[in-house]
This record gives sequence, structure tokens and C-alpha cells, in this order.
Amino acid sequence: MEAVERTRHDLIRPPARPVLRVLRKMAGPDIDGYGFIMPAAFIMIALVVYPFCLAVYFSLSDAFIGEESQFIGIENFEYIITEDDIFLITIRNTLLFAFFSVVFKIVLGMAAALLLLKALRLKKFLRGSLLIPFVAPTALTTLGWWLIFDPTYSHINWILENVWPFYALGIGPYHWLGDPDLALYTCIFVNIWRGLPFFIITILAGLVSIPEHLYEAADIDGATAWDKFWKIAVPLLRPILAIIILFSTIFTLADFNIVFVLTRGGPINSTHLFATYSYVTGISNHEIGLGAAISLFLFPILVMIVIGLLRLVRRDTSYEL
Amino acid sequence: MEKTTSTPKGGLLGQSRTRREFLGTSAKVGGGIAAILATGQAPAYAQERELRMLVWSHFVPASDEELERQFKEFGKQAGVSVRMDRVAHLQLPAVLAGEVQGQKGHDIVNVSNSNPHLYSDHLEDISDIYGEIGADGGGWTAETMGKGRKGEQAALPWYFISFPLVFRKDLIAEIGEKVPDTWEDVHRVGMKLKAKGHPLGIQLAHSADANWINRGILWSHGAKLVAEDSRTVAVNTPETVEAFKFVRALYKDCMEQEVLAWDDRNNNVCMISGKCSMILNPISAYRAAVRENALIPGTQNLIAEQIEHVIPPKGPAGRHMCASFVGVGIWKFAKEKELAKEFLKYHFQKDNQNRLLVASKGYNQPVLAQFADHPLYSSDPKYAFATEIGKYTHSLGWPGVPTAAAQTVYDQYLLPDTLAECATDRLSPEDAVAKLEKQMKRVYKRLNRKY
Repeated sequence: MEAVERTRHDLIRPPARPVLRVLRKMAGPDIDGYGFIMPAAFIMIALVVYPFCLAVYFSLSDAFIGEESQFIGIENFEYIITEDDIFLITIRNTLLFAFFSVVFKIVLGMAAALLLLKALRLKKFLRGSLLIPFVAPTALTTLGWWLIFDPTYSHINWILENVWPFYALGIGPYHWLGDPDLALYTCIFVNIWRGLPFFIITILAGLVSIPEHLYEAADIDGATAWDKFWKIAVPLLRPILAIIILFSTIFTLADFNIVFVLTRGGPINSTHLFATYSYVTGISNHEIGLGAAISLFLFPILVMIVIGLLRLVRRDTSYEL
Repeated sequence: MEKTTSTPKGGLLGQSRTRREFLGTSAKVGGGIAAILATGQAPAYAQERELRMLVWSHFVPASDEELERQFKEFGKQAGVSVRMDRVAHLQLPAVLAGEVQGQKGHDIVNVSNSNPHLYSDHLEDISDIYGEIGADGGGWTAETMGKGRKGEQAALPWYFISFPLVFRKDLIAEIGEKVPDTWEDVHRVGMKLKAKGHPLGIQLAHSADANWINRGILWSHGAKLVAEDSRTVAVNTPETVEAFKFVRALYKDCMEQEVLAWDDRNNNVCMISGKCSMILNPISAYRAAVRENALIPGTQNLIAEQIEHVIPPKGPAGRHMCASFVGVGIWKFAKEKELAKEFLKYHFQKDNQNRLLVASKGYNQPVLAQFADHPLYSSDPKYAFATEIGKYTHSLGWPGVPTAAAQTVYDQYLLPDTLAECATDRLSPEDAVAKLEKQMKRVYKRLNRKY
């Protein structure tokens, strides 16, 4: 009898219509799975892939807001590299900004996390309050720093001029935002202040998760605190460090708020970053094609950084007793 | 007997519905929406005539209130509904760009400085009402403002925000000097007052004021950034080099390094706090000093009583200043173009313009010659400069018109930056001017090709 020949699979699933059967044959047994991921894929395509492809097209076109555009190849990139001297300053600024910000955040984040690991009093309060700079809106907190560094009435300068021992030592006052040699480092300082809590909390979480017995075993072998840090903590924190460095590098390279609020790219373009210069060119000047080329300039380098760091994450470290 | 599925009466959702009623209503609503989407038109009963206007959010709220009152009054007279939307001035470029990109939005729009040139293809030519309104108002004082790419009138000049010399009369009297009339006077007086701890404050930074004021200084020295055709860079001349030398002297002798980081607020703060002796600024510094009852440090005397304004100083080539000109235009894709023109004619009547000027506390300076001599200005000695300053104030891109290229030079702060490099001895005046010329030629070459 036919009913006897039905497999268990057929009993669970009603017989497919011819079209579905053909589709199943083509797509394999996971066709239902494709259906399930379709809404998420659609959202990704609409909100991530499409805008990105549009930005790539803009960077290769002479697009102006409200005008018809034409494909011009890499002309925009040639222009910014060979003719636009402000862009060359912007590259230098962005690389310095990202390098110093990320390096200081790693070093200070690690040091603060180690201190917090040992802190016994006010542990919860300290850990909670640390997140404030990270949680508060950047534009708002940067306005606070703007007042602290105000060119005319800087709070820091007031302290340097009126509080002992600073006035006795003759330190300052400094033009934090007005000196072209100092303004970028002022912006870097604010970026570090804002991003440091993310490093501290994440590294602290990593340190807490390292099993205590590894340190005990190292103690028995006569390891010093330095050895334990370099040979146990750092290797086991590597995947976490790689991820936070990755995120921080991407966010720092794309930073906009801090510079826009503090200096608007000045003085003498000494603080322009890709995001701020791209905004001026693409939105204020309507040259959306050129603006896209500026913002996408670092994309290939970022991709390489991402690949390198993800490879580092995959290299696992484990210890067995 | 028909069986119904009912929900409890009343409750959180109010009146209950049977399943059949719910499905019926849903089908009607769904069908209606589908029909609207398919035809792209709202049903007839929803198609009231509506005039829509987009403006920047004025920093004097009473100005917006008066404008809205006039707009509503016009709507009532014309029998149409009106809608006015306001956005922050920094967001206005993005909103305008969005409307142009989508070819829909408001009917009347706030298009300032280079926007009429930039959006020339999308703005209605309103030369007819420009001529009519100009004739009624005794002629326009800003003839380069509002021009499109083909010379058409793409927008009406609306008002401008001027930059007189703002000074402390008590400090100038203390050193036995008279009120500066020329830039050389400003330099001499500024040098003496800086020595007494009261510097001059002119931004050499990424700020709007730096762009306006320094253009004025250049023009007063006979220099110009661009030729009359608005397309040819004409900056590298002996006059410009002299102007750069003068700004360097002003910076070194009369100012402090902080001006390299100033935004548009800092010079006001410097004046109101009693530190600065002279700045170039709209009346906002004085108004703020009045509002805050600011005192001269160490005394009980009001600083506002000592603040005075005069027309911008004269240079070897005369008296010139640059300022932000606010304009108003009508989109080509507007639904109510004729109605929009009628409103503009109504709004530019003398009574309405005067009311707007009063509501703005004198900030909105008229661009029609006949309206400049307003009692608000002539009755108060602090505002005496305002009746005259329009004669010496030009728009961006002068002696040409404000173009996209002029706007890019402005937005990239090319002039303040090269002046700052010269003032801080990073570049010689000749090299700074050569650098400015190179940067401007890059911008003009690129944008002349497009526009």
C-alpha cells in the first residue's frame, strides 16, 4: 500500500506543491531557514548595504545635492590626494587622533582595571560611576569640556594662574583650543576621557573571568606579579583587548562630535578629522560626491585592521594544569 | 440566529466591535489607503489649499512670532490655511537639500547668502515682484543678493545682520583718544588699550564672524577675493598683501592668542565681561549686557551704558563690511507659487516690515532704502549706525554675487586660516596670500565647471 511506503519525514510535513518541491531541490533542505532570515536580511540590505553602496557610488561620481550626477571614476580620490591640502592635513590629524587615543585608552584602561580589581571599598560605586562619561551624550559632555577649555575663561588656566603650586611654578596659561600645536591633543584628551570607561569595564570583566587557580599555580612556581601580568593576564585578555581595540579604532576614526563642538576643525585646520571635513564638504558645500570620497578614504585600511584583529581574536590561549 | 464574537463593552479599548464589523472596517481603511497610495492623491475633502513656509529659528523669538502672525493674517485674508515650520539655522542646509533632492516640501523657503545661486535651478524666478517691491521701498541696498546663476532674481533679500564697530567709550576716553574712524585708528587705539589689559577682539578662527569681518578688512584695503564676474579668483594683489600685513599687526599689537579659537560667542563674552575694549559684532553684545545688567569689573557701573556702536572703520579703499544676508524664495516645485508671491508682496509692505524690525529688536536690518531710517534706530543713539550701515555692507562674493564657490571658500574658512597663519608668523604675508589664491583656485576651478 502507498501509505505504508511514506517515510517518517513525509508524515510530519504535508506533501509539497510542485513549485516548492523544485525550489527545495534547488536550495537544499534549508529553504525554510532562508525564509526565517529574510526579514533580518531585508533590514540589513535596506539600512546597511544600500546606504553603503550609495556612498561608494557617490564617491565615484560628481554628485551635488539636488543635481544630476555622473560617474567620474576615481577623480574625487585623485583630487583630494593631489590637490586638496586640507585633506592631507586631515589624514595626519585623524591618524594621530586615533593612535594616541587608542594607545592611551589601552594603557590607562588596563591600569585602572587592575586597581579596581583590587579595590575593596566602594567597589560598586566606583564601577558604576566610571560609566558616566561613556553613558552621557557626547555632545553634552563635550560642551562641558568646551567651557573648561574656553579660550577666554578656561577653568584649567584659572587654576594654573591662581592655585599653588602651579602659579609658583609659572605653568601656563595655555591656549588649549587656540594653539594649532595643542588643539588636537586637547581633543584627544577629551576622546580618551570619554572612551576610557568602556576599556576599564571591559578589561575588568576579562580580569575577573580569569580563574584564580592559574595565579595560585604561578605563585607556587615562584612567579612575580610582573610575570603573572604578562604571562597569564595579558594572553588571556587578548581576545577581549582585540575586540575593544577594534571597536575603539573604528569609533575614534569616525569621531565627529568632539571636534565639531570644541574647534569645528580649527585653528588653521589643525583638528579636522575625516568626519568633520567630510561634513563640511558634503553637506555644507553640497559636494556630496567629494564628501563621500573623504569619508570612504580610510575604508580599505579599516578593513585590513578589522581582518588583522579578528585573526588575533581567533588565536585562542588556554592553560591546563 | 447570527452568532457573534464580542469583546466586553467599554473597557480600555472603548466601544466594542464584532469580528465581522472589525473585518469590514479594516477592509475599507485598507482599500482607502491603497487607493491614496496608487493615485498619489489625498481624497478631495482633504485637499484644502495650504501655503507652507520654512524659516530658520530666529534667535529673537518675538521676530518669529510676528512673522507667524503676519502669515496667519494673510492666510485668513486669502482664505487658505497656512503652516510655518522653523528649524535651527545649522539644520536648515540639510532640510533645504532634502527638499530639493525629493522635489517636494514647502512653498516659501528661507534661502540665505549663496543658497539662491546654489539652488538656482530649483527656485522660481521672482524678478517681477523683486522690481515691484524694490520700487515701493525706495530701492534695494543689497543689489548682489538673491541672484541666480543666469542673473535672474532667485530670492528676495529679506534682512541682514550687520557688523558695526562696538567699543567701550569710557576706556577710549581714559587714554585720551577719539572714537576710531579708520582701521589705522583702530590699530593705534587698540595698541594703547591692550597695554592697559583691554585688547581688541576679532576672530581669526573657524567662526562665521571671522569670515565676515576679515572680508570687510580686505575690501577696505582695496583687496578682493574674486572679480566682478564672480568666477575669477582675484586675490593675489599688492592690496591683499597689505591687508594681510595689517591684520598681522592688529593681531600682534592689539589682540591676544585666544582669538585663534574664538567662536561667534566669545567676542560677546569678552566685551560683556569687561575685558575687551573693541569688537566688531551685531548689537547682540550690547543687548546681552543690557539683559544681564553686566557691571564693569570692580565697579557698580553698568557696562551697557559704556558700550557704543559706529559704522565699520574706513580703510585706504573706503568703508566696506561683509554680512550675512537672509533671503526668501519660492521653490519651482511649490504647489502654491502665486499665493506665495502674494504673501511676499504683503509681507514686504512698509507696515509689516516695520513691525518685524521692531519685534526683532532691531536685529533684522532692512534691505530696502526707505525702511532703513526707522524710528527704532533714529530714536536711540546706540543704534544710530544702523540707518547708514546698509550702504557699506555687502554680501559674500562681493563685488560679484554669492556663489557656490564663494560659499565653499567661506565654509572651509580659507581666509581666516591663511590670515591666522600669517598673523602667527607661520607664513609670510606674501606666502599666505599665495596659499589662499591656490586654495581658492582649486575650489573655483572645480565649481566653475559645475555651475
